[in-house]
Amino acid sequence: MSAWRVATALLRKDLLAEWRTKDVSTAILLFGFTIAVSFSFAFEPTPDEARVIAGGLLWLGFLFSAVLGLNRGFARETANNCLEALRLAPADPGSLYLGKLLSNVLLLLVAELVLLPVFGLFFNLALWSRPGWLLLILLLGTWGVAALGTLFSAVSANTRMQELMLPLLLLPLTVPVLVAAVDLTTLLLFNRPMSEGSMQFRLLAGFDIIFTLLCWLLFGYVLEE
Amino acid sequence: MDIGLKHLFWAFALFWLLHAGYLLNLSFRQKRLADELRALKESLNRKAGG
Amino acid sequence: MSDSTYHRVSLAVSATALVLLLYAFYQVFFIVPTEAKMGIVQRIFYIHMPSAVVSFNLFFVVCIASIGYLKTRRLSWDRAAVSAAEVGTIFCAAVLITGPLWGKAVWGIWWTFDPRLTTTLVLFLIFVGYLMLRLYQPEPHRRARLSAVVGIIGFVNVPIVYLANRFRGQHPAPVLGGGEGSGLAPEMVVALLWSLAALHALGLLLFMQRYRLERMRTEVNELYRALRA
Repeated sequence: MSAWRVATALLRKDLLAEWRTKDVSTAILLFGFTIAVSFSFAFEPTPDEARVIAGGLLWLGFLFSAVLGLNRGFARETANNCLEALRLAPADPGSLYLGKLLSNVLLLLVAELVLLPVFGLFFNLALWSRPGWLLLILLLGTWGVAALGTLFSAVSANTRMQELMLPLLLLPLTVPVLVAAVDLTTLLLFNRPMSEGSMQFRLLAGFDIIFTLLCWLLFGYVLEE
Repeated sequence: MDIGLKHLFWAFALFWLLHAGYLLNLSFRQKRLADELRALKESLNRKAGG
Repeated sequence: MSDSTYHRVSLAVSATALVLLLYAFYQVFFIVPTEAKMGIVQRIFYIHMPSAVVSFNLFFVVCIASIGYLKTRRLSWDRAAVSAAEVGTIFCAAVLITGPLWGKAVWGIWWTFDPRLTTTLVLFLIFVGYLMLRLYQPEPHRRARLSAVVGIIGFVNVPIVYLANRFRGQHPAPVLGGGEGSGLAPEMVVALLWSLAALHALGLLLFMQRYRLERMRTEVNELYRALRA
């Protein structure tokens, strides 16, 4: 099977499994919503203050929800010994990685798009003034988190304390994504020209490319028995 | 100047405590493993020949 | 390397490290002039900056050793990786301890998100995670394989973390140690070089001891297996 066929096959299988169980989406949505509410209670910002911290809150919310979602996703797989099946599949592990990465990116993006209006509501944010840029930031940031998250959920699967391992490993490594995405989102919210964020865009793109490549190369090692 | 001295002292002191502590910890772990190694070798000898 | 050779090398390294450390100490406290703006506190720089360099070099070793293991599957590479990681984390902790002490004395603040300190913090967290992952993997080859992947990714991440924080312009932060490069008197450069040499020697010593420990551990596990057979 060609690499692309394998990847899309895995993507379809994951999306179907998700459609049936809704494990990951419910986790991300509920948790994200809880975070949004908690933040708004904790900070009670005025609309002006909100603009300053919203970038950070949004991406922290996304990041924490993503960790939860990734954990649930892989938990579902371990429960059904899918990891074993993946290992035995006569497919190049790189394509398996790509398939999983795509399904994770899609699931995370959908959840984030649902959570955005929620955050917008609680913090009175003018999020949709430049939807194209917003979506680009969302895509680049989410891809970065998913690229590492997909690999690391496989690393922490079947590890004792796997719920702790994933965030412990993932959160420090996604700091560049967090920093860049927050900076860009803040620029967006303050109606600054997006050209001011050109370095951050380049950083995010670079991060995504480098780590997708690296994780694609290393996934086989993680999957080994 | 006084504050500076206190911070300077603590910086160096903590640095050395950290490293000396680590070195001591390593030696302690090594010693424990050496004992375990000796005990294991004895057990193996007893099992094989003895 | 045989036990006796090892002992001789290790003794040589320890002696060198000790001499270098004493000489560097002498340089830092008796030869170097007091810095004009910061006063005596600036001398922290001579353990702060070299520690950062040593830890970064050690994490580079982790990356190389990780690749080495994945390519050859020989556990000696893995032993080198964990030794470098643990010692590197210790030096990283040293940077994170000396940095705020310096910062508090000079600028009155414990922490600043200056790119270097922030990168050191993230590096510290990454390799603590690396060490924790190893803790929960009992099987040697699986442990080696998974930590190798983490080690490679962790190391590659570091320059990117630095860049990400460099591009943040909003909070002008005092750059710890960054300004010094421009105004270092020649005696300071000399002292810095000796300090770098001394701390690298110390790092090498700790690395060798940690490696020896890991080798003993492997031996113990092998003997247990032989006993049970």
